[in-house]
Amino acid sequence: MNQPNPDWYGALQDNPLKEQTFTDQLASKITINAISSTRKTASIPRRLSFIGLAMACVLGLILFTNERETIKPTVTTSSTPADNSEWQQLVNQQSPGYDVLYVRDYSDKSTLVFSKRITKVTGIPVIARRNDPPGVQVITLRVDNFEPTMQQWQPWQWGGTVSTGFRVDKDGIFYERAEDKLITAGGGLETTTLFYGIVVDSDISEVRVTDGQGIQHSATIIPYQEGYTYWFAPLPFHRDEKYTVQGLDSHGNIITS
Amino acid sequence: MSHDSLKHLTEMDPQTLEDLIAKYGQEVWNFAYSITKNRSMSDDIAQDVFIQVYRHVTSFRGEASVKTWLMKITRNISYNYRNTAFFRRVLLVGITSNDYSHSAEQSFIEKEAANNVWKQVFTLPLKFREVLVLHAKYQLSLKEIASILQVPEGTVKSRLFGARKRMSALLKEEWS
Repeated sequence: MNQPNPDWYGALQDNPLKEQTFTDQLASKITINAISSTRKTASIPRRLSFIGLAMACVLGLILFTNERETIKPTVTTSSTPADNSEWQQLVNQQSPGYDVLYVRDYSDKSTLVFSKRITKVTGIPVIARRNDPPGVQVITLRVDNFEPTMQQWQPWQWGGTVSTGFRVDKDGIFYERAEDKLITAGGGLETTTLFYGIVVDSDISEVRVTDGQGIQHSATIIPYQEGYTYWFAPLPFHRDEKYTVQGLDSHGNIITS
Repeated sequence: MSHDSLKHLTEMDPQTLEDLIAKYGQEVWNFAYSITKNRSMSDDIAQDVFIQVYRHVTSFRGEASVKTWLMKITRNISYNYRNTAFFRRVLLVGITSNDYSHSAEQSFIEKEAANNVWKQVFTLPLKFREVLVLHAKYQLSLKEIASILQVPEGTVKSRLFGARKRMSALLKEEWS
C-alpha cells in the first residue's frame, strides 16, 4: 500500500466507544478465571476434561479476612442418580475444593451440578488489585453438566470459564457495587439458559427471572451456613432474548431488578 | 512485553498474565468488538483470549510480535463466537442488562461510538472492517495482517483499498 494514510486514520487511534470497556473489574475477572481454569485442566486427563461443554462461572468475592472456608455444605437435591458425595467427588475431579449446592436433572441424559468454592489467595494477590491487603478470599460459583457413560458419570462437554471479581469490605459491603442487592451470573448450554448468583440483601426471599416472552421462572434459593445465600435458575433456551432478574421480599414486593 | 520474554516460556506465571492483560486487554477487547459489535461477547472473547494465552504460551514462538499473536488469537475466537450458537459459551455477569440483538447494538454504536470515523467503520462489511482496523488502529503491516487473516498479502491490499474507498465515500457524504 504505497498511498499515504488518509487523514481520518488518526481518529481510529481512539477506542471505538466513548465508555470505558475493558475495566479493572473485567481484568480481575479474566485473571481469576485464567488461573482457575488452568488448575482445572491440570487436575484431570485432557481426554476427559475436554469432552464437551460444561459450564463454570467464577464469582470472585474478595473478602478482607484470613479465615478459610471449612463449613460443610447444605445440599439441595432434586434428583440423585448418584448420592451427593458422588456428585461432590465428580465435581472435585474437575477442580478440588468445591461444595455441591444443588443438583438438578437437565435432561434424560445429563444432570446439572451447581457448586461453590471459597479459597484464600496466597502469595501475590493477582486476583485482587495490587494495593489490596493480603488474605483476600475468592468465592467461585460453578455449574457442571454431567452425563452417564457405560461405566460412570462424566463431565459432558467442557467449555470456557468466565469469572468476575467483586470486592467486599470487612462488613460484607460490595463497595464497587454497593447498590447491588443481588449478584447475578449467567451462562448457558445448548438448550438451557442458566442464571445463578448470590443473594446479598437478606430481605430477598425470592428470585424471579422473566424471559423475553414474559414467562416468569422462580429460582431455587439455597441458604448456606457461612452466611451467603445462593440462587440457581436453569431456564428454557431462548436466543437473543432479554431476561430480567428480580429479587422479591416475602410479600412479593420487588426489591431489586 | 518483549518477544524474548515470552517465547522461551514453557508456563506462564500469574504476574506475566497480569502484565499482558494490563498492556493488551483493551486492545484485545477493541478488536473483538470491531469484529462482533457486541460488548458482552467482546468481554467473553477477551477472557477466552487470555485464558488461551495463559494455558498455551508455548504457542508463541516469537515469529510475530506479541500484539500480532494476540490479534490472531482474538480474531479466531471472535469468529468462533460469531459462527457458533450464542449460548454455547458462558456469558459474563450482567447478561440481564444487555441486548444482544444486532439492531440494538447498532443503535448503541450510533450513540456511543467515540467519533464519526468509528461510527462509519462499524457500517463496513466485516472483511473491510477488520483489515482497516488492523491497519489504521493497530498499525500493523500488510504482511502482519495477512498472517492474522491467513490470506495472501494481495488480498489484504485489495480489501484495504476497498475499505478506504468506502470509508472516504461515507465520510464525504457525512461531511457534505
